[in-house]
Amino acid sequence: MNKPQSDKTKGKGLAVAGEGLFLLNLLFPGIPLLVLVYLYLRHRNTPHLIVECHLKQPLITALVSTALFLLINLAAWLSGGYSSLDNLVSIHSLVALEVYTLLVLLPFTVPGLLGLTKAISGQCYRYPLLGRFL
Amino acid sequence: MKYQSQQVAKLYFIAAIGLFVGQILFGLIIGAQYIWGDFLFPQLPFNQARAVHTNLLIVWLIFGFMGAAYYLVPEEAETDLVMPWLARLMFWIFLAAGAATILGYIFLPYADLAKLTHNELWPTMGREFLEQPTITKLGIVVVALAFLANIGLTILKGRKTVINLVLMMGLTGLAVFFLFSFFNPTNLVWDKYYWWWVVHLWVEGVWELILGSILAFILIKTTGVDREVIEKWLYVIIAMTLITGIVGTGHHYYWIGTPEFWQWWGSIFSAMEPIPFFMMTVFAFNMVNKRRRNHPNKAAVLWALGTAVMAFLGAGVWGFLHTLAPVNYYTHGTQITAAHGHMAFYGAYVMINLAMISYAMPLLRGREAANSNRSQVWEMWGFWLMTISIVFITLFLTAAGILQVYLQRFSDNPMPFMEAQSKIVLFYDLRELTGLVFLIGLVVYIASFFVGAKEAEAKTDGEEVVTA
Repeated sequence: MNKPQSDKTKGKGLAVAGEGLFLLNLLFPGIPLLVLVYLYLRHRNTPHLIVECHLKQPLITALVSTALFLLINLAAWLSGGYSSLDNLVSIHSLVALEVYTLLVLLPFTVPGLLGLTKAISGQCYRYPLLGRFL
Repeated sequence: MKYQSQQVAKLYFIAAIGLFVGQILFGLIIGAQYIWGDFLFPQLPFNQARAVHTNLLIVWLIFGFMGAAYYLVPEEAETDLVMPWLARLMFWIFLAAGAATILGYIFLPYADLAKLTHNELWPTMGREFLEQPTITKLGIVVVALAFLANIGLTILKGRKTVINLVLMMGLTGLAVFFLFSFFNPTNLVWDKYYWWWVVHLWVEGVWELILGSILAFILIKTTGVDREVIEKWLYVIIAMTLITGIVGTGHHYYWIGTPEFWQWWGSIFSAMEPIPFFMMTVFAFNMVNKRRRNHPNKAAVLWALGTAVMAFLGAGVWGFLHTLAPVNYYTHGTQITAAHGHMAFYGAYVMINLAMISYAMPLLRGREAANSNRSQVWEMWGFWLMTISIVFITLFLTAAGILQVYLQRFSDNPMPFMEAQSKIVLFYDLRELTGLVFLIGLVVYIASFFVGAKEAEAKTDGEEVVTA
């Protein structure tokens, strides 16, 4: 009797974790993504639509946002930033931070936020644009 | 509407909307002055028109908060307001004092207004947002004391709920921190230091408590979710607001002559300030997702969700954009600050007031729960026009600010302020056009009070009308 209920709870927990890690990865790109990859690999065969919706989708979108984070910082490095430890806070890193906040953090946070609220309610949610391709 | 005394809220809401129109008109005037420097000069210089724009904003938001409190507190406390006559009296005193002050800004040179009101006896004038003559400030204190007594005694007499108590905390904080506007030391560092106790501790402190409590009230009423669930969220949100917001004041202390440690404290705590706004968004959407009923007032729900998202973007994301000390070194006092200010004020405080008005006005006008469908469609058009406009205003100001930082503060040959301004005028043109769309949105919003007023009220499909 209790099994379906506990499955549902587990699915919901995973969904919340998936969306939460996605949002955390926007703020601190790297480690949350690794945890997300681990969670996905471990639960990719779980037959819950909610896991598919709130684990695979955040994982792929987090890969995109992390790639953009790396690209922006690569551009900052190529244009002379991060040349030494003393140069970590320079105009290049500050511009990289601003560009990342405006072009990545902002458009990725809102769908993540909506995804998180749907995950908490145990509902599925497709991100706009990127979600349609997944 | 459960209690007759709630009716006083209607007066405050009408005045708030009227003053909102004035604020937007003056916003358009100063927007035009950014493009044509001598527009309406010397009849209405920029400094005076700007003071009217910002002061009207503050005054109408406070009118809205007071109206919201007069509506919300009796319903939460389950008792009539103890002194509705005092609420009416204070309304007219506040409106008259506010109108006289605004007319003073418009028709008198500011120095003459200071002379006329004997500012020399207790000098408090001349500071941004606190331009009001001392006599007006004293009037505001009297109105605030009467208001708090009225609300406080009603809460004491009736049921004590978390929403009422958080709202009371926020409103008391609003009144207490306003007292620092009377402290006007000659030392400029001290002056700025305590000036922020009014400005910052209002909008990034106690006003957020007011916002949280009003939002919680609307969500309880429109979603039917258990009060206990909503109250738990409210506890956590206000705790995070105060934890981050109070020390976050430090982000205003970077460059005013205060010790250097504020650059660390200000950066760390204000970087956390988006957290309560983030939680508010999760909270609002979560409650709507868990709703037990479909409330027929869809416009009010839209405003409630809108305020959560826009407050997070405007106050949270756009605040974060320039809050870290190394970034702020370049950006402080540029159009990036203006971009943040516009979206944060609209998202957090304009929208919560309009959400409350949207929820309460149909009931105050004798409806069971909501306006007619046609009226709501107009209102939602107003919502989208104003909200999309403010997003674009923010984006144009952000672009202007980025260019301004580069030209004026970073390039190898930094330009003087006015020269840099002439290079970014294209963004001011775009902002002005978008401002006109905002005004159209506001007109549509106001029209929604009259359109379909005699039609039957909206019902939820296949369900009974849910009474408020």
